[in-house]
Amino acid sequence: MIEQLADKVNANAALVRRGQYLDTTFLLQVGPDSWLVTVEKGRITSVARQSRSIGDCAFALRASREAWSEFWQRIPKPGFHDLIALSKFRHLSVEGDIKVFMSHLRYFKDVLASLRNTGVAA
Amino acid sequence: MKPRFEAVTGRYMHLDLLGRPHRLYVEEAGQGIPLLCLHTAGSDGRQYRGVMNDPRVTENFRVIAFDMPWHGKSSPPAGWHDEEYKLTSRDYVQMILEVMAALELDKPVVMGCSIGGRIALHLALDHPQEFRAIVGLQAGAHAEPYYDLSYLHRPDVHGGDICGAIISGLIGPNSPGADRWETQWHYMQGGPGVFKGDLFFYTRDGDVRDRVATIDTAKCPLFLLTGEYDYSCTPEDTLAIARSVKGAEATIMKGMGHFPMSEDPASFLEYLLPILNRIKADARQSTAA
Repeated sequence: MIEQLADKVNANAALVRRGQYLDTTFLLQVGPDSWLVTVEKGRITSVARQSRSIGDCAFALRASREAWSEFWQRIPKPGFHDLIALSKFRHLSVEGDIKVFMSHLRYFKDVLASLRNTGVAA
Repeated sequence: MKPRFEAVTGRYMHLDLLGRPHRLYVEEAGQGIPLLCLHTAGSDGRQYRGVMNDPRVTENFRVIAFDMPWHGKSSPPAGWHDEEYKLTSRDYVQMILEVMAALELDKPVVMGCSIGGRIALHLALDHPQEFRAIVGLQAGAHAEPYYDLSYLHRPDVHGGDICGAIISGLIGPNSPGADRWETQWHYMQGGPGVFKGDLFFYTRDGDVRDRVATIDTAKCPLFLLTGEYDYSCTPEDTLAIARSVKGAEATIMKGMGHFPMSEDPASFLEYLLPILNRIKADARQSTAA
């Protein structure tokens, strides 16, 4: 479940430290469903179901349920194994303030990858 | 752990490159047929540490890797501080030929990865007689940018962090952890704007789609190895060359990404050694003849 994101990230001290200068809110869309993810100093403080509008979010990551499901496999197929790969092959759209995403790219890659092996793929 | 030294030695070579004095860092190991190795964009010769440390290679090959100017331990030329670094096809080819001449390499094998794989195609097209064989790793005729390259060099984004993070996904998912992170570290250490400057060649100036099919493998054999997980130079990009160039041999490396020699040296060598053995056998044959 997407709600596990907070526990997964916050339990990872190295990942939280990497995001220690980051305060933002981004929208994570998985097929028809969307969540608003709030980051405060690298910790995920809220994961809330939300409408699909980008609203007050800095940026949105949008992909189909199938694409995220493959990304969250333990060993994803080529092209589904990385956010930039997903984006290149147009499975993922990154909209909004791209600079927040790019300047913390490793953080966001690791945050999303933290849901691997959590059953979220099913 | 008992301290030990590798058989690799490094030296600084002073030479004129592209008409300007340079101080270039050159590493080598082994003896025999010269094998000149070209690193990827924004990285340096450390990527070939696995090849240089494998006795199965070094008993028959003199493996040489130089850090391109602006990369690794090679300095940019004097005056660099007022220049924008941009790698061009012409300079890249010229640099390789001038380094070969300075090192007095006689018909080396050249092996390059990514931008090095692309320039290997240029060498196959324009200077095949200079080489015994050409090995292109992650070699494609062209690459379109798939993210905004300006993020690689701007004052409000950390260059080391973004260069490492951009390429992290190009590493195959099964690569050993230490080699995966070593590969990223080289990128994190790159000078400001250097990776981006190399990508000018990779995404703009180095396009050989219109003439790659004219490579003549009768003049110089062409071997291509590409990792299955590479989304920068995809397996399809490499297979397209193999389809259009008669005699080119392409192999897709299972589970591997864009930096095979660095991200998983042990697995890479299983693909490389059969090629080197064939080159060695051909050398023996031509000596006998």
